[in-house]
Amino acid sequence: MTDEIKILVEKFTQGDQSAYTELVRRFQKRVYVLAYRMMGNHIDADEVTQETFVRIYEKRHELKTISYFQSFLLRVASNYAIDLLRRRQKRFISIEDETEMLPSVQAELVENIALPDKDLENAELAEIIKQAIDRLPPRQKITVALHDVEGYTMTEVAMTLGCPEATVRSNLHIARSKLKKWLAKML
Amino acid sequence: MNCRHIEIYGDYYLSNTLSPPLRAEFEEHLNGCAPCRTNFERDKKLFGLLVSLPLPNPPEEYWQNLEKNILAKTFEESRLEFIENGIKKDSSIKEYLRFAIPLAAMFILLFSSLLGNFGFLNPFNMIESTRFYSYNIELLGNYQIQAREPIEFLSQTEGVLIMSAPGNAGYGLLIMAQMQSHGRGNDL
Ligand SMILES: [Zn+2]
Repeated sequence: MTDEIKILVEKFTQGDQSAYTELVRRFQKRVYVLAYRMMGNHIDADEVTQETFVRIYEKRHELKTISYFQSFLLRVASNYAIDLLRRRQKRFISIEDETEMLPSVQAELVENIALPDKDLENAELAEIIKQAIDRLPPRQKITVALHDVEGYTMTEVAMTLGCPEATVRSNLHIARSKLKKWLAKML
Repeated sequence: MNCRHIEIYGDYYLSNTLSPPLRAEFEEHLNGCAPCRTNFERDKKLFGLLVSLPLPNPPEEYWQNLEKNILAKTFEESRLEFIENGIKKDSSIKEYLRFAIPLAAMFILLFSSLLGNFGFLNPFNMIESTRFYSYNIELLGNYQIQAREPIEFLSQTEGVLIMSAPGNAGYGLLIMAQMQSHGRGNDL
């Protein structure tokens, strides 16, 4: 955490509204991007982002003992996104049962097989990868989103998720095995 | 380095965090082991696909509105709850706060009405009329204020609330006593 952020956080915990506004301004994109990776659409990402900051405001007293504002912030965002995904899961289908791909996705994969491997300008290809990530259970999904997609280090991910690095590693391993299987035709 | 190590170190290799000697060992194993090489190539491709996923890209004005929406939502949800009728109790307040804050608030109300400038908060009027706007305010704990007209909240820093009630007492400012964390109210 840079000194500047530290000062802002300290002012914020003392009830300074302009410090809060500044933190919102500086971190809203980061929260939104993670929320988008988790939720897969703009409307939900927007909800997660707004709710995250409201919660941060409510939890501002806890921040006095926190040394990594960003991890705390992203943790609040992840927890909310995971909650939301789990609630959705209950209402629709179980994503936990992800042994096989949906036939439509499989068909799409076959269709796209001729595409060059790294042609990610191709929106369709990106969409297929996004769909595959969306099929991961929430914990594995957040781990992949933070580490593999957004490039946070293993330590940062562990801090954000509040779990040991070994757990992050094992979640990543399982998630990647699934992705490799689902995206086999592209790899 | 054996096949199991390759699986473990693959990540570090890809993220360039492997020390040069380990890196060399890693590559040496890959060169001599076809299954590991195939597996690693697939990992590398997957990694490449994931990191190059496009960033979500909402229009620029979205960010400006987002900030406004967040601030509005924060202060609407977590600070002030407008209650038309009745007083809402918050069971989560610690015992001492539950006791000390209303007491301190009463003291402030009484004190200010004696001064004559803040008659709009005269606690004795509350008995005579039920037509009051009631506000539930959460600072260090939860406490209520009642006034004849809507109160405008101007700003708040921790434990200090500044507000005005134009319809009641001209354009007066009331500074609530600072509530220390042990729940005692100080003089105005
Ligand atoms: Zn091997």
